[in-house]
Amino acid sequence: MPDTALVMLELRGSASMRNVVRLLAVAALAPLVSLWPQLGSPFAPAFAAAFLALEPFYHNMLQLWPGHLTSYALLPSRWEEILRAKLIANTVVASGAAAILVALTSFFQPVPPTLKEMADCVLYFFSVHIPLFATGTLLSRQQPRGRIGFSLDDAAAGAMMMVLAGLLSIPYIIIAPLPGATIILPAYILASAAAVWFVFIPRAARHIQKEIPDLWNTMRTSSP
Amino acid sequence: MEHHADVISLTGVVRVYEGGQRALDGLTFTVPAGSICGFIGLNGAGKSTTIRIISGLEESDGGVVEVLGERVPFQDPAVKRKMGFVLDDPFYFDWLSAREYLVWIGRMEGLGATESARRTDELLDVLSLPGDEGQLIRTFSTGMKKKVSLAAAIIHAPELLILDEPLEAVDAASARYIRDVLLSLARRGSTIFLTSHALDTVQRFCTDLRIIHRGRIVLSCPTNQLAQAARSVLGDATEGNLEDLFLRLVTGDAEHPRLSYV
Repeated sequence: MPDTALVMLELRGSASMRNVVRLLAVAALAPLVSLWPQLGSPFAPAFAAAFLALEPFYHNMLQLWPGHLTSYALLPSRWEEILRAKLIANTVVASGAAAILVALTSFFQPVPPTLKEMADCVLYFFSVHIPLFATGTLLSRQQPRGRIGFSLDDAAAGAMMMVLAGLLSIPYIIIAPLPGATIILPAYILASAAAVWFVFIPRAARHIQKEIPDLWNTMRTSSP
Repeated sequence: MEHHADVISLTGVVRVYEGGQRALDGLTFTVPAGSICGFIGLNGAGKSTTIRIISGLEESDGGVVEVLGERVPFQDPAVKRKMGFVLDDPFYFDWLSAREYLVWIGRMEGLGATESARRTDELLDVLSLPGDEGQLIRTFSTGMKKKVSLAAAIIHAPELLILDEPLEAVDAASARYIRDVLLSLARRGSTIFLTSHALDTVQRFCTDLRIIHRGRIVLSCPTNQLAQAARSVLGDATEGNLEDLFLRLVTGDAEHPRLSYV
């Protein structure tokens, strides 16, 4: 298990002003979701908004704030431990943000959501969030941004996030209508969480350890 | 504290930037254990590049770098627990207060919560830093931020301190306290490797000197043998302080251009 001090720092950093502004900007659009044509789920726009607002937490997780990568690179912690701390903190932040946006969406729905719909929301969120963390780790290594904000790069990353979230929704879309989905979906989520925790993170950590000079150089040169 | 004969060892280190600029050109030197080693050079001489390579943030294009007996890049990140860093790029989190940041760093460096808080209080006091939870690092002056970096580097009393311009922008009183703290650390066995442009301070404070010019070491000696070492390099009866010798070593005897209108 990662050091609690690392998890707490990640959570604290997530609540820094810039990130809160992003989330509020997206939340302010919540009234527009009443225009959603009810394709798929009434909560689809809430999840789209949550993943969009939290895009840097997935795709730029090594540099959420200035000095993030440098500091972690100089810490005596293993990257495996750091990535696990990030997964825990990201899960807390993303599920919190998604819950807020789902609640806002529900408020503007003509009919209050049923318990089953709420349970589906939870299953959907975790079925996408965990694989999205894995793809986010890859993108954080391959296309890191020195600073996050509201630039063209951020917009492109947001579009990429929407495409990925759509693709990673496919397993849920396939499994959800099947008989026994209430067992298969949690099993799928647990299996993907175990794969990320025990297989993907150790492998990604080894790559990051090797790639620190390149990553650091890219961050440095892409900072304004 | 584990002791190594040479705490830092660079052999034939080369670093070539895009465009072919050779920042380090076969850089070779060692830093003995327990020394306070001043690493000096003109702007662009390769000091910060060297420090980043030693820290593992930048990769060399050739040569061997060993720190505390471990080859860089470090296979075991735990070796960094024996090191403290102040780099030219700040890496504190400016959305935390100095107290929050230092307590956190102490925890990450292996101190218990109580010990980390106790040392943080002492560091804030000695370095005259505000301990107010509401005052974030981003509101600090450049000198105060430098002191935060230094406090973070020494909170775990590391075996090796790597400091890039630790006294830059720091007020005179704090600079004296910092020198005292560093001397105390050196007395208890820590090795300090630092860059500075304040040559008089380097001459008074450091036990060893390494002068870098165009990516190569041009002088390497104990500070008390400076004149003798400079004489052997320059080949004449050189006298004077470190600044005179340094300027002769790195700029030669050529006259510097002057402004026509002044």
